[in-house]
Amino acid sequence: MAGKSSTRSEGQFAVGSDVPGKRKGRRREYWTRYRIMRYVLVPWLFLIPILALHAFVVVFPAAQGVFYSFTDWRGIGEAEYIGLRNFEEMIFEDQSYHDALWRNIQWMLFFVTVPFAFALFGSSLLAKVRRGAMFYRTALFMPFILPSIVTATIWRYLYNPRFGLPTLVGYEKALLGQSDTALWSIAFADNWHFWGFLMVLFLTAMQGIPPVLYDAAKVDGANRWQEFWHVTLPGIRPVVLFMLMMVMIWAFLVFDYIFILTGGGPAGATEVLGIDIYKNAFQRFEAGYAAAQGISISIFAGLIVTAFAFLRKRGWEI
Amino acid sequence: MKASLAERATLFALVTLIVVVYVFPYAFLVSTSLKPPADALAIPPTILPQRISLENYSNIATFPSVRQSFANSLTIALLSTLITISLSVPAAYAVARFASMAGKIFLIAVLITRLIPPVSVGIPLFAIMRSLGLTDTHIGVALAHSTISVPLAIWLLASFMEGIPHELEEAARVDGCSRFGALFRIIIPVAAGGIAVTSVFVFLASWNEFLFALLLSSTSVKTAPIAIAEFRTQYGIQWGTMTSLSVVFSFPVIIFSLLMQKRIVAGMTMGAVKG
Repeated sequence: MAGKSSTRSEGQFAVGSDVPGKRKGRRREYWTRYRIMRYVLVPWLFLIPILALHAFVVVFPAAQGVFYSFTDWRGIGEAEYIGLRNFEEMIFEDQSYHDALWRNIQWMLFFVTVPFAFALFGSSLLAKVRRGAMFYRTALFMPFILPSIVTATIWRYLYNPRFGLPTLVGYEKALLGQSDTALWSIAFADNWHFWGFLMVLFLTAMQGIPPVLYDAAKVDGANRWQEFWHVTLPGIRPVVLFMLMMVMIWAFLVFDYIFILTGGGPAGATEVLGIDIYKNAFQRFEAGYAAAQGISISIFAGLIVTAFAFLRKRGWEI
Repeated sequence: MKASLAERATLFALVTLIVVVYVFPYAFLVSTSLKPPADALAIPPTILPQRISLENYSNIATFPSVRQSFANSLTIALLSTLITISLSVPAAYAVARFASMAGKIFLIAVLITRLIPPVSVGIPLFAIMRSLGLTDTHIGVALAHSTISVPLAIWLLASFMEGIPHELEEAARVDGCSRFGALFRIIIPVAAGGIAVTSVFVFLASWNEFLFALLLSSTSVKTAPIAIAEFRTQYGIQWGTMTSLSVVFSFPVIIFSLLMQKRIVAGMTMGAVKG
């Protein structure tokens, strides 16, 4: 859109203002150089500062990460090349890596179901609300903007075994302190912060569904459920699928909530990949190995994107 | 077709119930912070404070390191906003005004960035920052935070700039203004509102950020989230102070989101879908 209109404006310039020569040969040469300047060099001049920063803080460290993953680097000093040793250890030997990966998969299963169910329910309710819609929307969206430390503090307090929420129903054990409940309790807290965001996305998408479709469904005698299933859901499908992809990727990156609430405990019960990598890099001084684990996450994320791209090619409108 | 009154009432009640249940955790945090410290530990806890007391808030002053961490958070967030905005404005201009090539490269870079876990960028980044003497400095953390907010900043700014009519710039350029001149004299003043909104997002992103702050600030520039997270381990859990710290820390977030409801919701969701 922008490209098209700027071509038009540039045409006006060429005719109106600064075409120097009238002879055809010179004009052609001028155009070639002008175009190179116009389309290749000038845009880059505007982008160079940001790309330099990006290179410094993301690309260069990421490339170094790839390099370190083939070494026995300890986080400081020299790194010695050890080939695929880190990856072999990760795949075949390291039980804690396998356990962490399994926890990320559980986390992913939670986040591709619970928040989506909440958000679909919430958004289809809110879509019908006219008066005060913005108020409800902001109220449900607010936790998404809250800093993770604040959300975590809230839930640490609410999960407290002495005077927290569970004591109201007579459950006096620490939800965060037991291996079988800790991970799900953190997931629930994270979900409290997250689903409002999904809901607002779905709600925005729902507003783009032509009302005619709902009228048609009514005429055909569809009940609420059929209306949701045959009109609403197909209408917001691209957003739902895109967010499924993002949530699956994010499930491998989870860090903040677990780090703040349990730090990976009790007894490693909430040690997901992010925590395991953090500990390997900064506490166990196995930065090379941690880099290899980080690469494995990027590979999982890449696989997820590829899978969705493949499905899209097969005609799944994403 | 109009819904019946009963139906609308049910809907209203249901939505209100959801909102009340949903907002409860935060309301409870605020309520607890306003109780006298001893009441915060009462069993069973009361939903509303029996007596209002600001003691928890005045207690914050007795922890100088925590107070310092708020100043650090503010400095870092402001620095990060300054860096991000000054670099993103020209980039957004390029994305909004030039042929799509540069924009596409940028988009791909952003997408790839999203696949790299921050914690694994953090390891080499920590080493790089250390070799440059940037660990435990405000600027080091601010630089790291900038990269998180740059994609969103460029998207937002570009969308504001695309809304500016080309004729404005053309008039300036006919008068002999260069591209850069047009950016500074025309685009930036016209897009000032959009730049302000974007700055708020960038500020909040840095203010809320946890992981890079954890990795890159060890002592003197520790940000508030890290200080609050460590607060429990250092002094035991003092719930009263913990809750008041959290309320104070979330204050700018709440204020901004109330002031610019629509823009916050639109901006945050756009960043996710488009990026």
